[in-house]
Amino acid sequence: MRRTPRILALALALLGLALAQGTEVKVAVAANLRDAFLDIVRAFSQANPGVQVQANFGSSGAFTQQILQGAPFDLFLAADTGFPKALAEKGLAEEPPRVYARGKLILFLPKRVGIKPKDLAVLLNPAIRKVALANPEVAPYGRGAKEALTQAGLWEKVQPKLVYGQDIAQTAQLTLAAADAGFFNFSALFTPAFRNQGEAFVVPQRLYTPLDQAVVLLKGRARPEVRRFYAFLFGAEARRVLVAYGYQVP
Amino acid sequence: MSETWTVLALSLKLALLTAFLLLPLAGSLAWLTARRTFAGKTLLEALLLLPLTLPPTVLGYYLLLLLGKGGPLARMGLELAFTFPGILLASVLFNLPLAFNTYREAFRALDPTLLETARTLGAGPLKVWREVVLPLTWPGLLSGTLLAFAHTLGEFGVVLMVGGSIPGETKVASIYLFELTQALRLEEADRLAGLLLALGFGSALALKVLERRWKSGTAS
Repeated sequence: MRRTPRILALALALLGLALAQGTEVKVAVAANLRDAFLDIVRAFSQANPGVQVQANFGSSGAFTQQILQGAPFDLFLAADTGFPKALAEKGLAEEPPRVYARGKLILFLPKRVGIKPKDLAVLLNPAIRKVALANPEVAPYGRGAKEALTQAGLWEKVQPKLVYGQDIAQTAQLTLAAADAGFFNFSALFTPAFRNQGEAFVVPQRLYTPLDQAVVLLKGRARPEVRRFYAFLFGAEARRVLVAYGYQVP
Repeated sequence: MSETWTVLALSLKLALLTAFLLLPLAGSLAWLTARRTFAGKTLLEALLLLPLTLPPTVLGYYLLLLLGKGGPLARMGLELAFTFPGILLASVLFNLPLAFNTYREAFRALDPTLLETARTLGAGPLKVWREVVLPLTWPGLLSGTLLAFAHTLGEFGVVLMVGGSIPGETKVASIYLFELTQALRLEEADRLAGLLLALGFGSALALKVLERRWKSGTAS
């Protein structure tokens, strides 16, 4: 019986501590941005030690769906401009979505395949049996890959080899683990898991619609710390990180 | 709409084949563990339970390593990742505990003296099965099969990891439903989810009806 009040006091103290930590920014982030985003958060935290940035990574389609269902995100960094626009049209944006980066698409062949890709036609090689691609309907990088293959006149021939990942991260994982080639984001090459794991070919920009990625500040969520992080995304430091990961910045 | 039927047909094919393959596989293991004692039995039973205690993604992860390009099976020339036989294998493993447990209960409920009596009366093993074992255990065997069937329809994580969502090959109904919701094609998602709900409820109802028959059968 004696112990109960002490445990209660401890619980209350912990609760108080948790409440004092209150300034948190919740961000939904497209999977292609993962490592770059973590670097940006690191830079932001150094300048703003009082603000916690909590990041969730996934596919833009999944986040759009979650936000429509009322998920409590403050900011959404999408992999394209279409999903943020759809949210804005439903009145869920505080202000019009803004492009923060343009991504690059690559074709990646794991080391075990033993081929260095010089163009997309390498996919016709019979040694390449399975080609991984993110679901073009929900993942912008998958859509870009489909466009590039179509533009290059290869879609019909490559289609029987295609296997689909649900987002760009799963597509990259499928490529490393089980497929012979895969399309995903250039920035993935900076992830330790990909270092010396194969050969990449940067898909020429003229073959697909630019992968402009927009951020949306969600309705009713423009608290001062959210505004501060939003502004930081367009500042010199964040841009430097994005460029280091191979993104173009506006 | 036609895509809805394609994915449903694929799911049904996967579920039927899974249930069908599990009958001899899980059945013989269940018979063995229900009737015999042997060294390592507990270990074997724990191993058979494993797919139930693992997150489906963990099972899928290891299967992908096993079936994928660098994996041991691929090196033997058996490329199963991203193929229908690949998800069938995954599905059989995933449902093994369910079928096994139900079958074992059915065999355990069987009175061993009945088998001995039949044997002393001169019945051969085949006749014992046909006239004693099957008539007494079929509701249990059927409900294990039905359970595996229904559970396969709802399978998601394992197929997500090893399937690659290829239309007509590995894109099953549960995966397609996920893709529809992500693409915000909610009307089609509604329709497919409704059909899956009806199928799931139908299976659950059939299971319960069977269970009642089985209970009343063993009581008499």
